[in-house]
Amino acid sequence: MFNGSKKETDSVLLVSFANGDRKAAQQLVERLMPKIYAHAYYRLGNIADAEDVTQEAFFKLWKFAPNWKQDRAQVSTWLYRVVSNLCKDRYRRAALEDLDLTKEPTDEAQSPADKIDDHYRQKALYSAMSFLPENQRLAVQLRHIDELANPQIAEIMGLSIEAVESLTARGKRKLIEILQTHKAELGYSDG
Amino acid sequence: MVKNKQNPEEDLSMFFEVAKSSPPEAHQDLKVRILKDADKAHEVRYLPRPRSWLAYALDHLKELGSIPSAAGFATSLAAGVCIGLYVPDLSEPIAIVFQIDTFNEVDFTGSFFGINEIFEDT
Repeated sequence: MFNGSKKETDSVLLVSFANGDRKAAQQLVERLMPKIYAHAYYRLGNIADAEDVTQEAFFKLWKFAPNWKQDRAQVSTWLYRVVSNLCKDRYRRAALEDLDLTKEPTDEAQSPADKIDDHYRQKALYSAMSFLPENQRLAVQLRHIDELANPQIAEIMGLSIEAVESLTARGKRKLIEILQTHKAELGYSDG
Repeated sequence: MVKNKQNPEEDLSMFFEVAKSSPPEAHQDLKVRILKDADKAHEVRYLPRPRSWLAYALDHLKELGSIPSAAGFATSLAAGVCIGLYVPDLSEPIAIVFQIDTFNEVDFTGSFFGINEIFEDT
């Protein structure tokens, strides 16, 4: 059974959950949900879809838990991959045009004035990222926002490390180009 | 508004820093829903398995009073089924016991208590 130690890896927690320890699920959610939700939100651009995808990904994890082997991939890698596939499914269903990537998050706990600068920066970045091809966008997001290592990104995307490096580099170049050429449309200027 | 730096690489890094430093926060409700799903997954996994026909049969056997009474019940059931399927003709065994050929012993053409003889005499 899980004893609550911080040293427990995600895999150990998942196996504990599969063996009947409900507290292990709580620990896993506290560790992984913020990252997974943020990733889904950056990909989909709205709270409702990001929440649905996050919940669905964790539901798949709970169902898969009894078959989990500790020597396999990290739990976070597995979740990122599931979320990535779920997001792709949503893209296909919505055919992209229904997704408003510039929609503001409805965060009622903070006043708009407190976060206005960050809001403009985030809005500009996500708008610019929405112009990237899907693979480049995912690679850039996993590397520079989710801060994952290239081998983990390669595992999530099912590509070689070299391919990930190439995608990330091209994505960044394109992002710079977009941010430079669409300053006005993206809501920021040279000040 | 953000000021654009001279170095585009640095400029982009600044955007990433902002995105990392203020990630979108999930509502507390989402955590509750995810943990409810975990509970459901547990409940499904630990539900009693559906019982086999053998378990049910053994339960009924106990109710009948264990093996001797079940054997008696089975025998009488089998006998009942056999009797139902192959209905015995009871007239034959009785005729055999009394050594009577039931068909030939009855003479429908002959006299009845000597009445024919009486008529013949007259």
